[in-house]
Amino acid sequence: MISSTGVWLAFAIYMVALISLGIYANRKTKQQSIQTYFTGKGEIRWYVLLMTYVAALMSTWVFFAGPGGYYRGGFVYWISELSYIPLFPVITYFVMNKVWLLNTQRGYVTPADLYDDRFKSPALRLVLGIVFMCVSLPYVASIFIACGRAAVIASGNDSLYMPIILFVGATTIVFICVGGMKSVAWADTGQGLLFIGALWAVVIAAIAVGFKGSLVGAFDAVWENTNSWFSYPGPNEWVPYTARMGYPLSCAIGWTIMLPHVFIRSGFSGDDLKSQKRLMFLTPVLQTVVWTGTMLIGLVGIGLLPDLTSTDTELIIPYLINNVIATAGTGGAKVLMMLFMLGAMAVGLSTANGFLLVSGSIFSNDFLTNLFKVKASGTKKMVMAKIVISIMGVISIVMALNPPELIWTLIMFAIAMVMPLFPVLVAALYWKRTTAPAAVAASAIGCGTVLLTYALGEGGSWYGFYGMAVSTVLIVAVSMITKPVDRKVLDSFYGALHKAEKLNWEDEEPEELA
Amino acid sequence: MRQRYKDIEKVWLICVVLFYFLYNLPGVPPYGDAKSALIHGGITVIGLWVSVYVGLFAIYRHRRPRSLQEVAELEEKSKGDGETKTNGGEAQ
Repeated sequence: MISSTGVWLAFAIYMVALISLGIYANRKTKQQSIQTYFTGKGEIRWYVLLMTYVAALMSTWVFFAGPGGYYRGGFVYWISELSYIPLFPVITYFVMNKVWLLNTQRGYVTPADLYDDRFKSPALRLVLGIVFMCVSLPYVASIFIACGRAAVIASGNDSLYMPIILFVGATTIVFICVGGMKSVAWADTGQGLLFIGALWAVVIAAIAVGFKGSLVGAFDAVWENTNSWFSYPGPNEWVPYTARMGYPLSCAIGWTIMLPHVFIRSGFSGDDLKSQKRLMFLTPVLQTVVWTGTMLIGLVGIGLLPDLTSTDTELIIPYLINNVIATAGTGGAKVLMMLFMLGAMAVGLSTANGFLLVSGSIFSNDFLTNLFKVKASGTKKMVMAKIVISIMGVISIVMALNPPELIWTLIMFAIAMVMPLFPVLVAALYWKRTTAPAAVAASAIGCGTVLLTYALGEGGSWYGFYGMAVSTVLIVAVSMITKPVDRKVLDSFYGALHKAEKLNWEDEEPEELA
Repeated sequence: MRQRYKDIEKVWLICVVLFYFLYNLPGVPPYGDAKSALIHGGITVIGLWVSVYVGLFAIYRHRRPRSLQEVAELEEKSKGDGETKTNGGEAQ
């Protein structure tokens, strides 16, 4: 639908704009410390924090598998999404706000820094570093794949796949190396607005052309013709009772909190507790806007084209554009196809940027500096980190050029793998008796349990649920039988938390007990 | 002496867990029943959202986060006074 030249022009302008933003942000931030480069050093304002969080969270799922997911999963799949979205403010209030408070006193660079501050365990830092690095690679590769596929779909030219992946991959690496967290955050703000706008442009056009602008008409048509779309377990049995709990729980804990790139944003990057508050209040709203748009595309799809194959539904947006919206005129369809391509790139790159940056920080800070005790100045550490980012980017490009068959399964697996680390975090913050051996055992065996869950074929329903349960049991049981953490370490850790709470919260006067 | 927001936090958590549990009751609604699915979703998921946001508003009425500027001023004042106020409330 769009010429190859048009596709290249769009990608080139987009990436030049991204790199220019990186250069501008780098010049504005005169001397970047390691902490500023990787986390924004708690200086990101609420409106940028909100957008970078949401943009980094959402991936190309929004434009590729997501609408097809709703087509096959049904309205109840959307209801299951709504069941975990409001858990974000609750988890952030009780957990991530404490992470943020600690960070104001301790200056963490990676998630493992907090765990190490509490437990002083190199073994734990190693386990966390391996897990967080492993979950990052498939995500970045999947996004480069999506960019290549978007270009091929928009132009109908298969030969664009490889050069687009190489171009996007290389320029993404340059952007991150030049800019750091602040430029990534600002880029995410623009990209977030772009992909949400593009998504809803497709939704409105699809309803306007497919159902003469009547959303009620669309729902009526599906209710009459595919009533199973509204009931459990959904038309393709995506939402049995087990997955209704397992999938949202994995999203609430694994996807929105524990994946390292969103951990940094909700735990380290905000400038004050007021920004954290706004993040808590507004993130569920924005998430609902995105997933409702995706659901409505699935609704229109199943309402107009009820017998699509699974392969067709994976690419339902371009399918609708070519087969439904184009009937009303190719001009509008071309614009929407361009928006699809740019929207997919925007939502994807905002995630890829986040993952690559945090991977660089994990390797540089956790492995080189803390585990292997490589001595280097701040500047040299930054150089090392940028080399790592480049290497990770290149590996992701290679994976994208020859994608393993299970790449999309690997993404849900990534979300499941980080879930067992959550009980360790909660115990670290709330229970002084938690010991280092317990943290190591819970993390390692919990993640091992997730591997076992998938090996036994239960990963599609239970994700990281069993791993998290095992981690919870172990953190308590092993703590009771192992030596407590040194008193001085505990006093320092909880003292820092207490000090930060006094500084950042203005609590009302305590009440007398009756 | 007890701070009011701690009681609100407890009630908040209980409500959220309760609605989440109600949403995930096995066998409810029965498979294939679209009307029941919508009613079930309406009661439990809307209840979950309402309890989350009502709880958030209630807590923030009793617990105000300080802005960056206020924190900076407080830190300056603390340095100047050379002492730190204690306010109780250690982590468990």
